[in-house]
Amino acid sequence: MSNKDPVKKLKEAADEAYKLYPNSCSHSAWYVIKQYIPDQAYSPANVLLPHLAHNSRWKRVVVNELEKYVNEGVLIVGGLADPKGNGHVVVVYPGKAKMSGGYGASIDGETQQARPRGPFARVMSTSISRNWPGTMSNGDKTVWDPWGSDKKFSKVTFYRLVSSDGK
Amino acid sequence: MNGMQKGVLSVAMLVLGFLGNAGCAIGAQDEAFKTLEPETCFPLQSSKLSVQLSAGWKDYLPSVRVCPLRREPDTDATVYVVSIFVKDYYRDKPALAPWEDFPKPLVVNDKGETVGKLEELYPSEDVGKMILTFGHWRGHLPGEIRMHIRHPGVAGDYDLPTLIWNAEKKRYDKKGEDQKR
Repeated sequence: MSNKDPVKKLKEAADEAYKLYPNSCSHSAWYVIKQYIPDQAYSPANVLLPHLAHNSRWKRVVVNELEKYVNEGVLIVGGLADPKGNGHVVVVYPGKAKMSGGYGASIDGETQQARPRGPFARVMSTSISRNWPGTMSNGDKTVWDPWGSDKKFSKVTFYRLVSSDGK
Repeated sequence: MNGMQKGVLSVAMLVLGFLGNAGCAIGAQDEAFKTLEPETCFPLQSSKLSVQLSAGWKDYLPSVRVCPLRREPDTDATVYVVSIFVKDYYRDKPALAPWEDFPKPLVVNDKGETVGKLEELYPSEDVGKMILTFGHWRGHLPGEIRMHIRHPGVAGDYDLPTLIWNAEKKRYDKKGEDQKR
């Protein structure tokens, strides 16, 4: 895939990961990373995220730069570790930023509407949990949606893979 | 140990056990946590409580409700949670009306003075549900307010910082906050 348009390569890898691993965020993210780093070992979200934070091949990216980088074909992986649970990891998906929310969900038998909170970069996200519509996305939802909470999303961190020339 | 010594010990243990239980029973009553039910809240506009609100509340006043934190259903509250009920606010708005930067809820005393703040809206933001409990009574004043958020997102449920009554400053501080200062 090395000669492919970088955006096309990223989109295809994310699409394949979404289909292959709809029940595991860490496996779907791992699949995409492997297309760029073939010897990348599998690790769950709680292990992968500290690895990205401390590895020189990855650089931290702020939320408002995600759209720019992903549309240059740069691989960006993000997430939030959870010491009491599994954590969650996602891959930023190419395309124009879109509004978060805009769908309903039921909690304790009560229907709630996730209101749009502004435009965010798109995301590829999978999970075994189907409680929340924002969890599953193949570019049709945003990086905010899996968490569905400003408080939680403010703690999510993103890392871009540094290119071979160090940029 | 002879029979008489055993008898004295048994009586002593019985008395200690009774005192222990009695102490526990009194403590439990003071500790007793109540859960705030949204149905007990009433519109601010029909309330006798006079609360000083900043300009940011102006557009939301019809959706602001006052929630008494009562020790018993038939007793007067000494503090109230004042919050925008967003479900009321969005009731007549389009399904895709955007989220707004709502002012955070206040805890006020019976004079309407602010004595604390919550980090998220009660009883819910657009997603999730706050379970607010209060107890550790100082007379009719709850010494502690706890908030648990039921949330369906990937990170699941979470707690907001507990508010603890600071008797010296006559306000609620986040648990541990006063010790940091």
